[in-house]
Amino acid sequence: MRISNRSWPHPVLAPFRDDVLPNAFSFTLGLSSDRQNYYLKIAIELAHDDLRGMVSEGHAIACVHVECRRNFYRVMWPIVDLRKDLVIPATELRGSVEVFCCVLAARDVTSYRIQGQHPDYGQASFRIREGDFLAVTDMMHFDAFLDFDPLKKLSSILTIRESDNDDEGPMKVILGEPKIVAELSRADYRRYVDLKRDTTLLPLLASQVVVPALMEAVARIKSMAPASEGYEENMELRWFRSITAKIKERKINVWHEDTQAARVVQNLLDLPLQRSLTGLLLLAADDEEEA
Amino acid sequence: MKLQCYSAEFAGLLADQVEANLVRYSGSSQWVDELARTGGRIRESGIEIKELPRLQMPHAGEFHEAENARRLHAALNKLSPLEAMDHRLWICLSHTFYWDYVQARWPPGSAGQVLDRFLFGGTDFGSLVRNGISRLWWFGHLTFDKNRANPYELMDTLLCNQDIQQALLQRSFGKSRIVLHTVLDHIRINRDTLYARAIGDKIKEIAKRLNVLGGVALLEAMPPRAMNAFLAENARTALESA
Repeated sequence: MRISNRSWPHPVLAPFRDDVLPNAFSFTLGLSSDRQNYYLKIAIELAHDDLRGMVSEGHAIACVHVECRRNFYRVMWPIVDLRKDLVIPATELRGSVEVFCCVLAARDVTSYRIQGQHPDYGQASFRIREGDFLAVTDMMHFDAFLDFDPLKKLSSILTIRESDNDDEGPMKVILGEPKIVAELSRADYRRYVDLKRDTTLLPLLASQVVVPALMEAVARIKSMAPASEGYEENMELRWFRSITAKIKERKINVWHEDTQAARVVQNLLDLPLQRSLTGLLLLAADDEEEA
Repeated sequence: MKLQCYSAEFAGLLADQVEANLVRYSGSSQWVDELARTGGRIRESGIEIKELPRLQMPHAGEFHEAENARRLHAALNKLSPLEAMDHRLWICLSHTFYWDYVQARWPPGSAGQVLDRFLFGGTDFGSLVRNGISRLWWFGHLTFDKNRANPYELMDTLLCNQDIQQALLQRSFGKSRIVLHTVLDHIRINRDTLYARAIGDKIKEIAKRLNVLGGVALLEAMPPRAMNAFLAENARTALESA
């Protein structure tokens, strides 16, 4: 539901309009989740005396409205004492969820006027029906996905697979599945399986396989503007959610033109090059001992 | 039995290749079965059901929408909305068990139609009620009311005319259960009077006006009497202009 671009036939207090001044009306949204539910803690701040008075006298009600953009979840709750704790089953939401608060008329009013209404309204008064908007906040969004476990375990978002078709050839990176797939030719996959038994080689193997795969993934994220349809579609993929969450957590602006995918990946993996070089030094030390 | 679903990669591949495969959507599903068998493209979904229901095939302009929606929703009534948003599940069902039904219901004439009915033409809520099989489940889910003698009573109203579900479920206000049920109940009660003729055109017009009203008021906060008065008034005026 779009709120900010509306034109109402009566004065509506909103932070993005000057229908009514002062127009301060906002809310804070505390969000947490577990496997079963999303927990929303809403607290609204409404400074306008007239509207606060109408709410306390029962002539108006404050509400919070929650709507999932991707499915048919759209529910409104009344707010008492300017605070509301909501528990929404995790099975109801997925993807971008919109939340806003509002004050609505709780009964019909034949001559509605409000203190601070824009001078253009003059002495006009308005007919208001029960349910009409009297004040609205800006919209807030949150992403409803329960598997944000940003890169705690790389295997949860990346898998190395043997090609069905190619005996030899370069590695392919597949980004259309829940996990990033690094697909190796049959010959390379055999070599990889042999080599990974030696734990000292693991950092090197990671650099050879994991780093380029993640660079492809970061490049994909970089090419998607947040809130675009492509971004929304890609949020269906676990790897996309995990990496974007990690990027946000580390306050990396991946969409800035100067941000290089290579640097982002190194940051995400906590300097893999350093570990690879350390692995190489260990190998060199082993070789010297054998000599 | 556990429901099967396609891998995300395979579902994406089918969507990418709709144009190239368009002609194949008019024939048997053997080609897609063969493609799906390679490379782990069919997965178990973890959703347990007794069995998939047979759907009534379209015949002589009769689509059996309500009956088919009832059968599918009743068989998959343990599905959560989250699971029912999973495109991989519905794409798999549309390309396997329900291939013949989807093909007969929407003879594949264009890539857009195949994308909408066998696959998903987007990630918006409207796409859930366009895929040939997912729509049947969502119709049941959105209208089911266990407090009624016939819990599917409102679904029968929703599907009594093709225009009703399109007018109501492709708009944001139709996402609100309280608004949707109020409108459907109004249609049900007044089916033989206010909606006795040109019901589809009237609902389309009323849906437009509800959308305009929703710009001024929060429809779910309107008292039922006010909503019913609005619907009755507009059903009358829509009748005059229909």
